[in-house]
Amino acid sequence: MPEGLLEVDGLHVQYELRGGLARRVRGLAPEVLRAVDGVDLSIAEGETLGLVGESGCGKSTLGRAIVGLESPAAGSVRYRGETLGATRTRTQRRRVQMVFQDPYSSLNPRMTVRQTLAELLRAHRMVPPAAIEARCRELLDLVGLGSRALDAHPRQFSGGQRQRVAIARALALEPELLVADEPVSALDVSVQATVLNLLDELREKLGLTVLLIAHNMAVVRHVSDRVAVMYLGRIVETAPTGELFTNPRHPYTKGLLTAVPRLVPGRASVGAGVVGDPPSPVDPPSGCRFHPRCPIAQEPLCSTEDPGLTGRPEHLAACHFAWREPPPAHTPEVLQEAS
Amino acid sequence: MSRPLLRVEGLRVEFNLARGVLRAVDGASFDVQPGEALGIVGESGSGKTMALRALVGLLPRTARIASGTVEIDGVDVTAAGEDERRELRGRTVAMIFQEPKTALNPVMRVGEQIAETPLVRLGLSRRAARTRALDLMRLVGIPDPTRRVEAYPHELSGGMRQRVMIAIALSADPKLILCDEPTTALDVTIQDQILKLLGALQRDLGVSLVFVSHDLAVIAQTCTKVAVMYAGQVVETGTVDAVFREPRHPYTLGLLRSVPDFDMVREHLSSIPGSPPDLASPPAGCRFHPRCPFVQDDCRGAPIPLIELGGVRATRCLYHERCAEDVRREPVIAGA
Ligand SMILES: Nc1ncnc2c1ncn2[C@@H]1O[C@H](COP(=O)(O)OP(=O)(O)O)[C@@H](O)[C@H]1O
Ligand SMILES: Nc1ncnc2c1ncn2[C@@H]1O[C@H](COP(=O)(O)OP(=O)(O)O)[C@@H](O)[C@H]1O
Ligand code: SF4
Ligand SMILES: [Mg+2]
Ligand SMILES: [Mg+2]
Repeated sequence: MPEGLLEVDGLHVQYELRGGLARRVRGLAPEVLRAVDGVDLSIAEGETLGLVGESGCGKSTLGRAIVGLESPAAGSVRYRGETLGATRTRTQRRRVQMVFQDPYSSLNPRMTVRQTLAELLRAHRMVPPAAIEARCRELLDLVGLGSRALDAHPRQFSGGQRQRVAIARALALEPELLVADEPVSALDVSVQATVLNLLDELREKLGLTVLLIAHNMAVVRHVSDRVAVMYLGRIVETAPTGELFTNPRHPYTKGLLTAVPRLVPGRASVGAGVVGDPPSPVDPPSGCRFHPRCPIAQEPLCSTEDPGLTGRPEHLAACHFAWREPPPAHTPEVLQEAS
Repeated sequence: MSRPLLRVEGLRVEFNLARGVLRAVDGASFDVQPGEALGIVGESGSGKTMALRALVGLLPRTARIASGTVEIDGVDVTAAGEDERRELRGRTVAMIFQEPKTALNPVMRVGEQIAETPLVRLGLSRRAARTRALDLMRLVGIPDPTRRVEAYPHELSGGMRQRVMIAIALSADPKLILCDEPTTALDVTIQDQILKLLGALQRDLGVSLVFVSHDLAVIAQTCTKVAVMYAGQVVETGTVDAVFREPRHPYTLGLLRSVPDFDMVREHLSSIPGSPPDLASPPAGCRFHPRCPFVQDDCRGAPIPLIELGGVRATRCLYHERCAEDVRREPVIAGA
């Protein structure tokens, strides 16, 4: 595949756990949590890539590493062929912006919308000082808020409006890539649609590239061009959206799709979904990380050999049986110890 | 039809606030037959939790039931004393909350919490109560119960804690379990496990469920009947099948059209303009009228009663025929 707008290569992000100092004093290595543990990912210019997976699998950490809010322990993030290090130039920072799940905590409560936007525009010299006011109005217009909103404080907005303000703030820096971390999860159902539609509109109008982190599979199916499925710090499958939903190759993806509650009454999942809980990223399972929960895991293969991503560049999956006849299903290991 | 296990008629719940009376639930009526699962769906603030809590007298101190009847298994709960209500809560009805972490006692082993009702209320011996706790843990799919019985809530995952809550709810053999967003805090994979568990319990033990959720898809998969709430009122009732395929209230219609349907990808998601009203001063007439695409003059006048549409179907909309036409023009959900 051609080099994407953004290339993530062998990325590792680790958190040192509390008690690390005590362990070091005793000459032990501090315990680390491998939140992102070897991620390869490519985002093409102009696409919306959906990133899904259970909570704690490392989606936000990956997103934060991409915008430069986490420094990787290993691996690289390249943007238009240029490596983005832990310390970034102003331009590098500007190009990749993030919108967070909780618009309540990501905005300064004491500043009006005008103050928030104007300060950014000034600090980054986005427009000449005389043009700041006009640009503020333009930005609000872009996210569907009237310029009356300029003098309001965050608390005066509803959740959906606040998320629009947060998006306007990200757009103030004219980014090319927007990392949206669960941008609608905190919003009411009837409001989610308006924010999702807005993101889609902006992509068309401004030619934005979007990394959409989400846990709602129906949302992802509606707005993404391509989907990456993450499990315990790694990408386990990537494919164009239509293909991922109709022809998933990884047992985890299959289970995840089966687990989605459907609007059609009675179309209840009859399959097993995914059993058990995600294991701890401090001490991940050997071999294929999914093997304890996997209904088709084969011993000793799956608990000793890491399958790695294989397949066509457009559709990759990390399962030993992704591209051949899967063995018959059985009770996964996590449920076996139960009896 | 047999006598309903739960019958709610004209339920009103009010808060006395400094700025006046806030009617959190305004005239809710619904019933649940033995073994049935009723869903109550609506956006946040629509009164779902208050309606559910009112059924068992677990309202905040500032709230009260202003009028209406609640009958559980033939007993009028609103007329009952606190002792009788407590008895009811302990035996006939159990409740499961969204965040089991706050509902569980953090310093008590989960086994003891499950054994408490059998020990204290059912008068089982310590040993029998422990055996009962282990059985319940097995029933709700907690792996390795002999080890987990000693665990404290914080040592368990969110999904396991919810299973513990369900075990506690089942410990007195209730006929009715009230569930308030029991899977909202959980991942979709764990949610699926819990929903399957609740479905199995309903099927195998014949318990009835009242299932409150803001998630239409969750209701579609767990319930047979549904009541849609908007701004404190039940605006539509019916079988899940009928309401989801052919909504007869513009709010239900708008809600169904605004959620992404996993099985039917749309070019553009529609949305409901505006936002729900402040319950301290709701709009006159139909509470949805400021946001309604079908609004007419008479929608702004007198309050709209629930209009019976036959069977268990009812709607609080004068122009419900418009919804039907709209659905004929474009289906709301896949395969309808
Ligand atoms: N600042 C932090 N310190 C320690 N651990 C963290 C921190 N942030 C995240 N983690 C851990 O890293 C893992 C991945 O977290 P996160 O990226 O937030 O996952 P997701 O967004 O997929 O839910 C989780 O186990 C989480 O507990
Ligand atoms: N403790 C409280 N004090 C005052 N008003 C409250 C309180 N709790 C809830 N309310 C009001 O009652 C309405 C219904 O609340 P609730 O039943 O919790 O809604 P839901 O469960 O549908 O989100 C809310 O819109 C809110 O205005
Ligand atoms: S590699 Fe083995 S354990 Fe992993 S998903 Fe494939 S079959 Fe399951
Ligand atoms: Mg996250
Ligand atoms: Mg609630």
